[in-house]
Amino acid sequence: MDQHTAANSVIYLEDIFRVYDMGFERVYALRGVTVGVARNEYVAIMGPSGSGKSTLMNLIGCLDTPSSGNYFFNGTNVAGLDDNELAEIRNKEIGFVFQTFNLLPRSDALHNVELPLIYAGVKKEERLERAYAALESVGLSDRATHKPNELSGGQRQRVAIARALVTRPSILLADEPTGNLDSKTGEDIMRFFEELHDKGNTIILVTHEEEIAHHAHRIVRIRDGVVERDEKTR
Amino acid sequence: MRLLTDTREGLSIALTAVKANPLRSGLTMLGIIIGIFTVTLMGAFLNGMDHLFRQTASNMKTDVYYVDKWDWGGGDWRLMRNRPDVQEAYLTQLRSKMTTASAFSMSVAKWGQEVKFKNRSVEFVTASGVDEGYLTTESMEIQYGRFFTASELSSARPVCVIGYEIASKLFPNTTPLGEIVRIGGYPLEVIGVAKRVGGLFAVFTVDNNVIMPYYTLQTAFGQKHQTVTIGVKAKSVEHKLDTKDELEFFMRQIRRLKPNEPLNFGINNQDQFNKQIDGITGLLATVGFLITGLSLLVGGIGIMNIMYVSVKERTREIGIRKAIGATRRSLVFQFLYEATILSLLAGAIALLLAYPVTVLANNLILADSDLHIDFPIFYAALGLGLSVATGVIFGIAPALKASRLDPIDALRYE
Repeated sequence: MDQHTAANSVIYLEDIFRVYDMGFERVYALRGVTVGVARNEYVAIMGPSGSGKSTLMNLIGCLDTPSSGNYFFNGTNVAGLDDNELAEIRNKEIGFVFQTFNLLPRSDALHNVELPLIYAGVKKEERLERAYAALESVGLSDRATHKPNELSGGQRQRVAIARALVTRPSILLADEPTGNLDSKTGEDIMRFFEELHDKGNTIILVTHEEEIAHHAHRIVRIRDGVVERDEKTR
Repeated sequence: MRLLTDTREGLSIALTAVKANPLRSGLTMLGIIIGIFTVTLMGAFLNGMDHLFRQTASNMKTDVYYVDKWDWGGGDWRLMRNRPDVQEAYLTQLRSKMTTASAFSMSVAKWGQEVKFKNRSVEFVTASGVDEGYLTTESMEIQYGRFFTASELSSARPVCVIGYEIASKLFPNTTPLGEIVRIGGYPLEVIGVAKRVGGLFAVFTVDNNVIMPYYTLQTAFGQKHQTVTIGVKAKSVEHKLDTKDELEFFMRQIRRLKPNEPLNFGINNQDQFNKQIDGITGLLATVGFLITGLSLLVGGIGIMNIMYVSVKERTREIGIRKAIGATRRSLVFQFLYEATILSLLAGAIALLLAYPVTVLANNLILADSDLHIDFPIFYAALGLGLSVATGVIFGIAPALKASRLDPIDALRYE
């Protein structure tokens, strides 16, 4: 994968360390990770628990900052940004899809999808229009006024995907997106990711399941805080 | 733009949260409701008192000094009891010596009398025996009929002028003139009705008085232990203190007091009442603001507590919001709005409760009184302002806590 550079990648992590200071002990969650993802790639990040996979995902998602190293997002180094600047990147450039869906329980589907646009300061009419279009793109335009507890697991995850897509982010970051779904619904969601990739989206999938990882076109394996293997699968 | 959308989202979240926990929200609001309710009612009362006070003060004869056995402003009752009586004879002496006085009067009051006409009666009235100068020193005006004459005074005729309150109670539908009333069993013919004075101390004014010739009162009630009150009206309101000094000088002379001896009589002025009214309203305001402050403090702490609970309960929601791009500022706003809406709602409820109370108080309790209270717009606005301030002040710490949560920990929170 030596063709990845900070210049030609959507995200490019360069010699990233993440150290947790636990008082008397320093825990190295990541020890020198260098990895890049180009536009319209479909990458799975794999690793057993404790491998540093979650730490890497949090860093990619700008929820956390590295102890050392550089992280270029569309060519800009985000390693040293402050809270508000990171919030803006999360808002505009990253679409999160979580294992537990993480929808707001008291808000209906439309409002959940609308939420990132509220924080982006988009005007109401445009916001509703775009949120509705996003719901339509995941096939749930008829569920706009349903609350999460009135939706099935698969439908909830689709709402979450619509919320992730509504700001037209640079990357879609999915953390075990099928972990809370039965295998058939999981397959549906994975097929949907494939469609999204075909439409030009960049997808980063974090999983510990070999089977799920093989839906991606490239697998980056993490172990003990370093990249163990980085291979194209198709 | 960002601020506007933040505001809208903050408001809608806040309303959802309040609606989701109506009981909890209601209990939280209780302290603030009591606080704002108190400040509003107290404001209404203070306004009413102030109005009444001004009306009363305008009735007061601040340019008249009263020589009396007692000091009206208070003092050691046991010492004053042993003072010599103020004699009727002093009046003649003062009248001949004083140069700065425009009028003199003499009066004796018998408190707590009952006055009767046929089967009607009024209790706790004052029977006053006065001379003809009383009309001038008291600036008394006659509504119907006339005052008694000098010959009626000297011959102790059984006639009287009654106050407005007594007239309206004893003679609701007929004219009192020419009728015979009995005070302490003694019959008097009503020859006049005094004009209404009103105000805070109406019960101590002519309104609640049966005024008769000085010598008539002596006949009716006897002369034992008779101490009189001598009224001296200053020639000029501006130089009334000169009149007071002159009065004191001649009274010392009459009493043969050495310059270093303390007075054994009182020189009183109705100004003394004004100071007492100020004291009363001041005390009321202090107590009211104390209750308000305490309730707002308790209410504010309640809001702070419930907001901490709310932040804790919604840790995961905060994590989600942060993950999809909520800034610290947005979250501070969101939780501040929630706290402020709670407290503002409490303020509004308090005003909704206070309004009918002012109306009812006016129409039922205060219907017969000179005290009149209105819904106090100023204090209502102050109350709403205070409730908003309480929400902001006590909401800021929980809101900051929410905004500083680590998104990773918050997302993982169960």
